[in-house]
Amino acid sequence: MCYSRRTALDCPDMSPTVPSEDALLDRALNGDEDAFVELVDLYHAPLLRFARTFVRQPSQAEDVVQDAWVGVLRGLERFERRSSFKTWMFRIVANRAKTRAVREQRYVQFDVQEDGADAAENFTEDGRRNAPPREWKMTPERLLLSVETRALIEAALEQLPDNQRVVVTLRDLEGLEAADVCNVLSISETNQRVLLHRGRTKVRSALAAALE
Amino acid sequence: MLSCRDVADLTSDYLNRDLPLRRHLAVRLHLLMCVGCRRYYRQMRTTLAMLRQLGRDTTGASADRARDLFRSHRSV
Repeated sequence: MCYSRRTALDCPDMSPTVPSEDALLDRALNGDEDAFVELVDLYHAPLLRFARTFVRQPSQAEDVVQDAWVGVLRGLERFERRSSFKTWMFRIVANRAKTRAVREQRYVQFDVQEDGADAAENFTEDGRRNAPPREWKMTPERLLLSVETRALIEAALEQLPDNQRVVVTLRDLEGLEAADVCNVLSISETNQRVLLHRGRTKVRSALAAALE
Repeated sequence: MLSCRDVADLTSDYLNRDLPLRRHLAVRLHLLMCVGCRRYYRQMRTTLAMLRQLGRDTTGASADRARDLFRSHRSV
């Protein structure tokens, strides 16, 4: 018997239903078109942006992502629930995009090499700053609201080396955890950390160049 | 005591809250005392907020195309 004071915990069937992605996938595989549309709506655009970090031509990135969805629908890819649906889907796209990038002789290298990302900050020999970074002309609040700065951050991201852009995209834009990024890209935790750090550092430098 | 260069190297992990407690506190202490690193940290934090916002702004795919895909490829 349910009373008015009950909570969602007391009466789980009365809690607001947010269909989980796993449940959406099950429904889609059982022929529920709306469930599939909902999944595509959630992930198509992020997957497309991600695929573009491997294959630069938009039409080919589109093919890769579409093939991934088709693979899921046809049961060629089996979701074993060892990761979240999102991580699994990114991994499928990564593998397909990598295959295609190799065919195009355009391979994203995830090894970490010295690239001088941090040297630009100008430290003295004993590690002190030569000078504090200059202040930016806009407050964080205005930066986050302004339409022009959106283009600025997109351009900064675009200029990153491929491997750094892939990691920054997955971690910061898509919000994947470090372990999931390692899983999606088959890279070590150390490489993931270094690529993320260098990528973010360069994006900050690009913003600084425009905002100081 | 961490140097400014150490702090710059750790800023990304600090923002992720990925550092062991002792390290985290050492960075925090340095940030309290060093104007330059504090400014650098705030700019990195803003950068991260902008990247996250860019991720949230991405728009979805057209529902019609998803329906076409579904109808032509559904497993039976």
